[in-house]
Amino acid sequence: MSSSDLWVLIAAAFVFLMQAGFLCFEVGLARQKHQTAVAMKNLIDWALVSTLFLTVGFGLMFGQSVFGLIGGSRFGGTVGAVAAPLEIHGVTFLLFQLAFAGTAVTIVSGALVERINFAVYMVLSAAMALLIYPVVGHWVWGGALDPASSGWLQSLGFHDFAGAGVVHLTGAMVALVGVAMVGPRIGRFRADGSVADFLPSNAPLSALGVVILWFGWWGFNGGSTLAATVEVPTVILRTNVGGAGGLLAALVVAWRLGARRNLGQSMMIGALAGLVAVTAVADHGSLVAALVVGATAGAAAPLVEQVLLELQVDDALGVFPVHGSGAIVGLVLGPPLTGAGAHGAGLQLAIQVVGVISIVTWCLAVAGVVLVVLRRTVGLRVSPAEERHGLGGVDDATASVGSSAPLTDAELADLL
Amino acid sequence: MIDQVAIRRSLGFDLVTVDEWLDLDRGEKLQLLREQRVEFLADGEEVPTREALEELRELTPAA
Repeated sequence: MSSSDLWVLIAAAFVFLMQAGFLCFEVGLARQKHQTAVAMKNLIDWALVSTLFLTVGFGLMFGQSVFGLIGGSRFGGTVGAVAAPLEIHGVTFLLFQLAFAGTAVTIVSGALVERINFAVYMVLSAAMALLIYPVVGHWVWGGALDPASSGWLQSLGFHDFAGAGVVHLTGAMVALVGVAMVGPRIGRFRADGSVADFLPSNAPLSALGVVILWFGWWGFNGGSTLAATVEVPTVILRTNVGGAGGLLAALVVAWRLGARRNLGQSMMIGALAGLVAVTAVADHGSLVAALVVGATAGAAAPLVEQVLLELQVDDALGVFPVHGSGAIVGLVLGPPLTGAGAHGAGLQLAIQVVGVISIVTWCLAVAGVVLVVLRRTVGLRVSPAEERHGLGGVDDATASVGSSAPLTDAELADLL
Repeated sequence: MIDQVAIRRSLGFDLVTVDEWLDLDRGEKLQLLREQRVEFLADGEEVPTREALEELRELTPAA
């Protein structure tokens, strides 16, 4: 095994550990009565990705390209056409990509905690692993194993070094559609329009989750070099400074926004937003540029969170401010600041905007269709009683509605 | 004051606004209520069905 493959293998383990980071972060921010269900959702989506992305998604993402839109080979957990001497490289690559897919899918859960039906969450996770994520991945990285299989955004020169768009923006947009379709948690917005504070059950556990995620990000971005090159330490350093800038900027903005802000939570989402943003361009530019990219995303995070609340959008754990707006900042602002990308600043900026719009549109369309169908057939939420009293582990799909005594037909006809 | 209505589907629930509930046709509402698939909520708390329907009747324009 080459040193490059060994490094990517180790980086894959870093990225897998991010699953634990997400779990701690989300469980700590959720209310105590929902903690177990939040943890179980994080477990189940990894199992789904491990089977569905491995067997189907990887082929759609890295298989032989069909018009730059979708891959069409390398199904069944094989890397197929990779020549024998490169086989170990292909398998290592597959493992690294599996960990990435797991990250994209688990991002969705944080927005929908405390009210989404378990079966619906499983179907949405499956759609992410099978179709939504692999298609975006093909557009941007399809030629990673075979340059002849490049996706259309890759051919245009869209720059997304380690997945700010592919992983984070994709997860965030599916989450945003989910939030809009599933609706807010009961009691989150009062009849007079004010917002009820749902306080974290265990903020230190969430902070530990952020540290684990931050650690994992060293592998997420550092491993995206796909080789043990001299660039790796600098990529990791840019990543780190992006997170630090995000945290500090979010803290200042949250403090300026006023006393109602939860400063600890703002620090956490700021750090993560900074890490997301710098993911787009961690391969280019000075440390100062990485700091500016991270700080901009971090500063935006509490503001975006505030806007969502004013619109009565209940993104429970701040998924869009972290992974959505953070990614957009990194993808759009990053290349001009760092010099990343193959084209001049103006053209590169235009390509980055096209890429962002394409990813957003694809995710809104597919996730929207999936959720509309599920809403009309299955029902997207748990029962109000479960939501009030807490989800123990997995939802009780047979739960009934409230405890009111049934009315007779005559009474109903009179009252309606 | 009722602000949300939960409707049971096959495996889960939908949460709709009062306006969305009022927009359903009478036959559909009657069927959902007969099958006890509806829960009325005010600030997250359950409102007994009779009390809720009486309150909503006040909001419904006379035919």
